[in-house]
Amino acid sequence: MNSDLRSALWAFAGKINWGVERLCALLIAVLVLDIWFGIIARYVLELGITWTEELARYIMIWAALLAVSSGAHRREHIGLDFIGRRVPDRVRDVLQTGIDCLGIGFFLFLGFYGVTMTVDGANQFSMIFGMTMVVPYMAVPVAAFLAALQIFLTQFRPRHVDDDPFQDIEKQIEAHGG
Amino acid sequence: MTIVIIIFFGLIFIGVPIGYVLGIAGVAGLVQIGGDNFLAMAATRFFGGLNLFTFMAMPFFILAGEIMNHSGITQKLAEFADSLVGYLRGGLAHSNMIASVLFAGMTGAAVADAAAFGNTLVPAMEKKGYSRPFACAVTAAGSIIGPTIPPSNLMVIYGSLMGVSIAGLFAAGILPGLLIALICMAVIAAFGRRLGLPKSEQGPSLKRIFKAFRSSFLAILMPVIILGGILSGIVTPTEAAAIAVFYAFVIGVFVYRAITVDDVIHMLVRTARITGIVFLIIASASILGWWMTFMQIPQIIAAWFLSLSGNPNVIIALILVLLLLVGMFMDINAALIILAPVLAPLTLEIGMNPVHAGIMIVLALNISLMTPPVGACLFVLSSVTGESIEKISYSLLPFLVAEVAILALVAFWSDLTMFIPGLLGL
Repeated sequence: MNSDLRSALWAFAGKINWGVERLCALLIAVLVLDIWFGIIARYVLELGITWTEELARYIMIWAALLAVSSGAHRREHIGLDFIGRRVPDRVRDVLQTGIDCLGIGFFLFLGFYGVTMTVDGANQFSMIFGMTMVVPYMAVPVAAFLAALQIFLTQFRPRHVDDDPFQDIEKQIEAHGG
Repeated sequence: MTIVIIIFFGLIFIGVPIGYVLGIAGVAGLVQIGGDNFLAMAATRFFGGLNLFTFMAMPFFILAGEIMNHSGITQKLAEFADSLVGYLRGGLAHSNMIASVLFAGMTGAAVADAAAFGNTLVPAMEKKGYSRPFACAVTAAGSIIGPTIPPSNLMVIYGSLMGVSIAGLFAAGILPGLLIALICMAVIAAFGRRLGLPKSEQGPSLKRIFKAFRSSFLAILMPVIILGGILSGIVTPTEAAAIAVFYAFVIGVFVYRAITVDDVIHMLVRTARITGIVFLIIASASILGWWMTFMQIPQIIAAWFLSLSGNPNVIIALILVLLLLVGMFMDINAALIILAPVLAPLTLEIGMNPVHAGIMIVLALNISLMTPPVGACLFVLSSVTGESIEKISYSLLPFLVAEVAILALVAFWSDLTMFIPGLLGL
């Protein structure tokens, strides 16, 4: 494939990821504010509200699931590297493509059934808000399709990104919960 | 059942990310029990697996740790630790351990600890005449104190998944964590003369201790607030984690003045990314978990273990060996999420308290982080310092033996683990 097109596709993946990561940051910030408000309402204002907890759960799910696509973009989802490290580059590339195909298949499957779940969610209502479950459930198909797209776009990732040793350290730190 | 097991181990072996493997094997399990009748269950289990309020403590503790790290607190804690024990033979090695304990009260992750200290304390130790492999070994040995002393993300995950009191787990982790620090300091003292570890010419100085304490006081107060709030039952772990974020944020922005708006965005993004990686594993494991429950896999494995021996001590020993082996090769969050539902019923069967069993499982996986060939802490230290894994592993051996001894003590002597939870009525 033409290298300009590859670069353009990889840049496109980067832009999507930039937007998704900022959205995740915003959601985490709202999550923090929501729980802070819940604490103040419970211990200071003694309001006895419970919706902050339900809201927090759904924001957390949206933020964490959207971030799955970021992990896919950065190849941070951790797996064993027994074979990958012991085979020639060409074999490793083929193996990686196979692994990516499996990932895309899984997320497309999840996205498809996530849409079904979301549609069914129109008739289900959250315990406290009483809102339709479409909004929380939608996190699954949106995140799954985004992850599938990002895995597909990693096929156009320049090799040197994989070869950065410092990224390996970052990956290890992040994959082990900071 | 066989096909699901083959898919699971086969995909793990060829290097498919664990979050995908669990989902794919789970879907294969759904197909195996009901053709396409149960496929819709995959999405609902994926969502349901995350729909727990207690999980939220995890991103908050990650964020609080991020903020504290960014505020340059690691250096201040190291200075305080050095003021306490720096005058002993091998003083910097001892202070590395004390700093790990202090750091543990703020973050819940071993690998971050290893990376932070690998960048700061290892070069400082080398400059004072310590060999680099030994400095790395001390750092690796100390890094597992992080997720043992609360707050600990592994405990949050275990407590949330298995319905065990997170406050109880936090309380139970304190003594084992302190014991690990003590035994590692004993190893340093024992090897001090033989290895010719340097001894500071300065004696202990109360003035220096007071000065270092004053500059790191606000950071040291953080674990007191977190643990005090949770263990006294005033706030839930999730609320305590949110308070920790608030406290860290106020200190970072207004006291240390080390955090900008860009830093905040960067830390929020990192928190989301770390959470996303772990939550994908949790959500996907929930699909496989449903199949395992349907097929009664935990009961089958428990029965198999019990068929090997009816002696609870033998079962505990087998569990420890299994955890140490699995943790050597697999990410420990994933190992915990996969193995906890399998092992927890077994530990109940042999009469273990769920909190005691939880600490034993968490500690064993923590120790496996620093076992060769691919323990994550070893890998990170080797990458950060440029030292070979073989040399670090050799220097690490006495620490490893000592920590496994503490693990055995924790596993076989429940009173040790349950002392503080019992005292607090948790």
